[in-house]
Amino acid sequence: MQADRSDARPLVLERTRELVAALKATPAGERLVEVEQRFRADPEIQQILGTLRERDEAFRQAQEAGNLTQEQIRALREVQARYREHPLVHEIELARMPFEILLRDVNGAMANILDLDVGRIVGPANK
Amino acid sequence: MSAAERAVAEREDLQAVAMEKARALARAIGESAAYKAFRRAHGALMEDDTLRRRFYAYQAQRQEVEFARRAGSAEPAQEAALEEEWRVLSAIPILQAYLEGQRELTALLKEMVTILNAEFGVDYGAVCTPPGSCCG
Repeated sequence: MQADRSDARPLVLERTRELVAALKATPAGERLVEVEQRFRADPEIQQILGTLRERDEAFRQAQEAGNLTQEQIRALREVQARYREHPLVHEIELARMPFEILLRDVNGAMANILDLDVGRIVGPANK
Repeated sequence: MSAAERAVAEREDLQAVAMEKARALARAIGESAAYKAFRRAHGALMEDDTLRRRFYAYQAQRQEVEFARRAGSAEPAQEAALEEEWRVLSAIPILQAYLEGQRELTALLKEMVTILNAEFGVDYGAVCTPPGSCCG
């Protein structure tokens, strides 16, 4: 089965890239890619994200060690609020909504042919 | 046709193209040996009533133990019984073929989804999984 799978893989990946290109051409895809690029290139939001990761890690470590302080909780909440309130975060959330509807349609179109739910099989990325 | 109507028609055309690409991708997956092997193995499991029920019961029990473990109330005896049931189940050829088919197909689908996630900064699995229904 391993050898057969490797035979099918290039075609599946080629069709995936074609789907990516087609999704990028839709207004929802085009908008999301444009906002994503600005998000990744924005020094302020990247700095906030870096601080968020650091404080989140410190929070987890302190929690595990049982020596979490009020100051650590406050510091994490402060940076979480700065992130949530950043205009680019609002923009990206708004851009994701129509694209996510499109992705669910993609998943549905594939399910009709394969008789299985790709999203359910792969599950969330962080699981 | 007004400019607004033209814009709507153009958007619908582009979405139709994307849906056709999604169907072409599904057909390519459908042609893969991983998918065909999974379907065969799934069919065999569905035909074996006893094994299917036993496997589903195992999955339900595993979930219960997982919840209990998270709540810190898992019984060692219950966990041991679950392990023993898995040892027996996983030696049954029909189930072995099913799990192997599922692994192969999942690996292929995850590779595909990783490309989509990276290109758009989304989580396909999370977006398309109804809450509480994860994972096959």
